[in-house]
Amino acid sequence: MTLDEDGWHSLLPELTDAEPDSARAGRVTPDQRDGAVYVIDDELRLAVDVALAARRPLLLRGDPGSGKSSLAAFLARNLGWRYYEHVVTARTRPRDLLWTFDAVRKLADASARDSTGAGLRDHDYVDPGVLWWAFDPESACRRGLPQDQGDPTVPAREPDAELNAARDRTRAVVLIDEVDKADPDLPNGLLVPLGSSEFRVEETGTLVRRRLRTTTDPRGSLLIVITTNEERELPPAFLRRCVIRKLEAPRWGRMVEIGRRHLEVAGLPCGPQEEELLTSLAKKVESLQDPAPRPAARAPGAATPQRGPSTAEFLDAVYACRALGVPVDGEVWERLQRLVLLKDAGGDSSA
Amino acid sequence: MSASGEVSVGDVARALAALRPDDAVADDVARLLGHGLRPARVGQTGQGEGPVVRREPTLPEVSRRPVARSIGDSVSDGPRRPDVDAAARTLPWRRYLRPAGRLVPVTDGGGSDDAPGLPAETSSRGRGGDPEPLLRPSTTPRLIEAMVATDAGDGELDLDVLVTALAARRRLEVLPRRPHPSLLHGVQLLVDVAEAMAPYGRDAEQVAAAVRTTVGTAMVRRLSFSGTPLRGAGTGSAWTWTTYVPPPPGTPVLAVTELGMAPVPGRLVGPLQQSWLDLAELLSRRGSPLVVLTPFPPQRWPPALVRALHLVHWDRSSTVARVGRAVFRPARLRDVP
Repeated sequence: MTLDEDGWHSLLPELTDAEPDSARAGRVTPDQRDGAVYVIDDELRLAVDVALAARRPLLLRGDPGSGKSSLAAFLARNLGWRYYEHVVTARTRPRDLLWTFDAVRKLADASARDSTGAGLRDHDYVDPGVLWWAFDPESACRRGLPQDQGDPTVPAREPDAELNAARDRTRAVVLIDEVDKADPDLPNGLLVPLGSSEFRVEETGTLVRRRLRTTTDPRGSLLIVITTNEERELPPAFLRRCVIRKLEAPRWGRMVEIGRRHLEVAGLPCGPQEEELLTSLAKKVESLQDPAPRPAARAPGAATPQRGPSTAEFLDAVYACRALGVPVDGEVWERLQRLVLLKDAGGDSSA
Repeated sequence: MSASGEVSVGDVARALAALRPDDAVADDVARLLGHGLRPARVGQTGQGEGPVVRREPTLPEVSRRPVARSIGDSVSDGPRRPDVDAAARTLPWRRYLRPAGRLVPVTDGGGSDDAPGLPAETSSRGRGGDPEPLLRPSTTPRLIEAMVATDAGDGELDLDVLVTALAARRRLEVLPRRPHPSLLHGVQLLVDVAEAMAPYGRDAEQVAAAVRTTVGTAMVRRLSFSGTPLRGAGTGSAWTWTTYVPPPPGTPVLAVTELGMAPVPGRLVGPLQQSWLDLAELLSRRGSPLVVLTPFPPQRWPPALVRALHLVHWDRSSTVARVGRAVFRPARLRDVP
């Protein structure tokens, strides 16, 4: 716990980026989930602290690319907690975050074995979801099979097992990404398991409970980070249970800082040339984020993008310009920005 | 956590005890937990063209039980353990306690957009001059869900059917599943902008906005038409409209129209209503259910249209259960290819 000069006692450790690693340069992307780097502002840090202290899910709103999804992994790495994520789609159902049951495989196994299906155990067809892994990883690994009933035929495979191996087995950060993609019954369906820290697997009757239900640690043992692009409204009952923070597009100064830190963590040089590139790009991106009309560089007849470029797209431009040696002016830049920032339909002015 | 599971003043107290913020940050902490910040001022009721209204914590004054004990339970032991009793004494949390249910207007403009815990209608209601919406705001999202949900095809296994088939040693070509109403197919929204619908223009816009926020902006394709879509439809002005293009197969269609029931001098109602029957048949062949939201009551609905369309009365008397029964019928779902 650190005494914070900004006016509160933060529950978070000092938040740092991962050690520079040149091996990361080859694979670094703005969307990676290793939590290596994140530029967090005071307001967001306070929101995280409040979510930890109040033991409430943290709901992050904001445009795509504003850094909602990458926060959770960064916090997990700094806290030393396990990290799990579930990217929600239109087909995601509330139960998917708890468990899934492969009835089709069981039916096939039963058909292949004999007409009665004797010897099949329902536990072998249960796959734990992210909340099960967060609540009780040992039970999840055994698919909820009690110790006195032997081992599961095939133990469940922990998501990101390598990443989580050295982390606290009793604490976890869970990212539920793009919750607005699913039907409204998904957020509502999470209220009970999150509120009670337990759920029961219907097919096997297994009661899954959070291992660390009480703790004297003011941070608790579970941080749920939920993101929404606000494509649809979330149920009021769900909102009333969350700590909510909207992530705004950063101004150019902060964008430069973000770019610099990404380069450093990737083990890439960040000298005066890179600083100049970052500054020029950040100012360009900021100008494109303004509601003023887009520059004439856009292809005639191309559809107007619905929003300005995001931080993620800024980083795309940084890596592209740096790797290709393209300065932020001239004809090549105009073509490059159409590819990575303006996202014109077709992307080719000659079309 | 409150008994209902919602954020309560207890959460605020716990957060303040753990973070021990100064006064300025304490306000931010309470705001993040969805609680009103400013003491109520005499004469401010939050009605009319005024400030956004937030609900004040509902913990009554009598709940000022010993605080330090509960707060102390949640803090860490060890050499750095804070003096929780002293922290509790100095906490500014008492000012968040107000008589239950009292409303505190928040005038700092940081209001509605970031307000957790408030239904959208709470912040938009009561604006001067706005008429009451035709649908009940509190149930509008659920009504829209009920109107445009289609079967996702991934529902629970229908054990009754499955067991019966297996017991009879019948071979199953398809695993039987219960219907799972879902919005994943999106919706085509048809809005009638004919003169007969002029009295409902603002209401139609409210419905369109509610459909977008419920189904998802990217999943809604809106077209305007006059009288019937089969005479032309489009996204812009009437002169840009073209021949109506149905949505992809299986996508539900929600039409907002009066179906020729409004008294318009000189209008031939028969061809208009026949056109709606033709549309219903066209969409049915493509597995797209057609739901019509109409402001006229069931007593005036033409029987032929009742048989062919899923009609919903655009009125506060419509309930989610009633709409669900009328619209989401498994028989309809089997039409989806």
